Amino acid sequence: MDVVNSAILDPMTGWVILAAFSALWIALGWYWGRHSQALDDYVLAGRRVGLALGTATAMATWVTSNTTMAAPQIALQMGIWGMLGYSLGAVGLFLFAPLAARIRRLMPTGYTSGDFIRLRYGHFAWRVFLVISLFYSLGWLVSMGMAGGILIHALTGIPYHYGMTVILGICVGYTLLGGFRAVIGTDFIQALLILSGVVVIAFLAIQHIGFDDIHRSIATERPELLNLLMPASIMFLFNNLLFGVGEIFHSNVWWSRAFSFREGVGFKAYTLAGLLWAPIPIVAGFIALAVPALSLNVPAADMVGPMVAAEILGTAGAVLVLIMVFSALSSSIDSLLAATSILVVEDIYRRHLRPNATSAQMRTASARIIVGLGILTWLLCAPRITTLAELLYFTGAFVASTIWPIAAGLFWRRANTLGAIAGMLLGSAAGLYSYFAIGFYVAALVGAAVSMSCVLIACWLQPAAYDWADLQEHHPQESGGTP
Amino acid sequence: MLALALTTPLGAAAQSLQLEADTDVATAGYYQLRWSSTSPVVLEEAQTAEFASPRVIYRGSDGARVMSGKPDGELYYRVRNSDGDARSNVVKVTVRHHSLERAFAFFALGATVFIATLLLIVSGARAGTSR
Repeated sequence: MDVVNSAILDPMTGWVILAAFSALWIALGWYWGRHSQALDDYVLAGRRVGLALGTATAMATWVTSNTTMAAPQIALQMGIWGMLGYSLGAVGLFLFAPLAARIRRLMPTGYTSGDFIRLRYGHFAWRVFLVISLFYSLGWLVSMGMAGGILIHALTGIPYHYGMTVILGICVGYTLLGGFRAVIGTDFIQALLILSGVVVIAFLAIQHIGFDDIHRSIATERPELLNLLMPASIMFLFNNLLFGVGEIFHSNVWWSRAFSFREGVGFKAYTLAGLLWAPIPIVAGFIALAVPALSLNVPAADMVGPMVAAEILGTAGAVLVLIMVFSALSSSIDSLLAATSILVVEDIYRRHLRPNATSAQMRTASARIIVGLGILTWLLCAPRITTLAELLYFTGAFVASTIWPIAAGLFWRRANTLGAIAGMLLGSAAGLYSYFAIGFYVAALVGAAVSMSCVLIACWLQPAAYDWADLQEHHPQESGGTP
Repeated sequence: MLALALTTPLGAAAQSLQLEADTDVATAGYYQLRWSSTSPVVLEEAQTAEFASPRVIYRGSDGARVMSGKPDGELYYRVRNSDGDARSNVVKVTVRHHSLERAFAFFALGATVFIATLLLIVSGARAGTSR
């Protein structure tokens, strides 16, 4: 399990840093959440989030284990195109900007992405969507819990299970205390830490390693990484783009932000977040290409980012990387815990089990679900069955199949239930097949292509005439009582 | 998961060193080698199963190594203790990249889906704004 015997920081230093930042996040969670009693306050920050906080939370949430650890992994495995292709994840934020504006306009009192699918396509499509969305959420949570354990182990030698437990425990703690308001607030601070860290690391890395040395070493040791016609990396480019689009379009992490932003903020916030995010995976990925020049042994591909940064920058750099990636992971885990808990509360607890639940009961259920998600994630992280990128891209087969049902459902009256259901089911099946038959780098691409075909054919054969007013649903929580 | 294609019998000492790869055919040029050892090891790579002219690619106490950026071909690996008294089994990994035809077919498919999605959103957003 633990294959690194040459960590740059000693475990005591690691524990001190973890303790300091854990105390900070918990204190902030308590401070921001102390007045969040109403359900809207607890799960959507009162629907009054402005541009600065909105941009920061979108950017920080998208800088996650994907960006800071899987991006270097992809660069090490796929080379130049892997590094550049990873930054295409920003396209998901750009494309969601107009969707966020539309969601806020069509569903001013909405709570979840599940609400939209249920009202737009009916109950069967909604349940298919919930399965996909919850599976993805769990996959993402597990990947980040794993990333926390791997990062802390790689930099400090603290065993994987201890690090993973700390990061999950802390995020559950402050999300529980402060709800969505704490998530947004800590995201703002975490975004500042991440951006500052990336700038410093990029500057120091350029000072420490020459481009000539990096190029010469790769050309000798790992020549295919420089090959612009490397087949797997060519296949990966649009797969990564569509995977990112699918993640953002369907996930309640991004819908809950669209609901929580003040009117007119969503479009600008997501566009700015995309611009701020795009360079980060390029910087993170670039440092992985220094592996041959440094003669560094990388025991597991998903460890490469923190290991190279620590090797180049020494002890101070390792501390910086630990703080930066700890922030990146926290900002995503808290968002996912909050958004998934409201998805479970609204779409499963209230819609399936307790239709008359009061606002107070739903708030209590939301807190319990956050704890339950934390425990479930820990249990799934413990065996560490795969690498980060492979786990993430496994979910790509599913999420990319939701792109067209959601986008067409938001803009086309003629999009219909049959196309949405066929798109999600057949797209997921085809993506999954290609994952095993060809590789993780085509699963999302195939899923999206099959899903798009289903939606288009269904629209052409049997166009619907949906009334947008049907999306404006009365929620019992609005009056604080039962319906 | 394992690619223990070849095994070299080297007595009881060799049995304590086990080497494995996470795939026997690498279609993207990367794979991971793992070994079990409590002491520092030397990882060797060769173009033939006989290890006529092996190349040392790692010395140290870690328990695994990620290989990447490899061109098409067959490669053989083994690990030995630093003092050389024990050797592992030999692992063979074949690197065989996907064809360029297949790669560009997926590229074209991805580009088509992306452009169609972009058109849907841009035209939908414009129509929504004008209404």
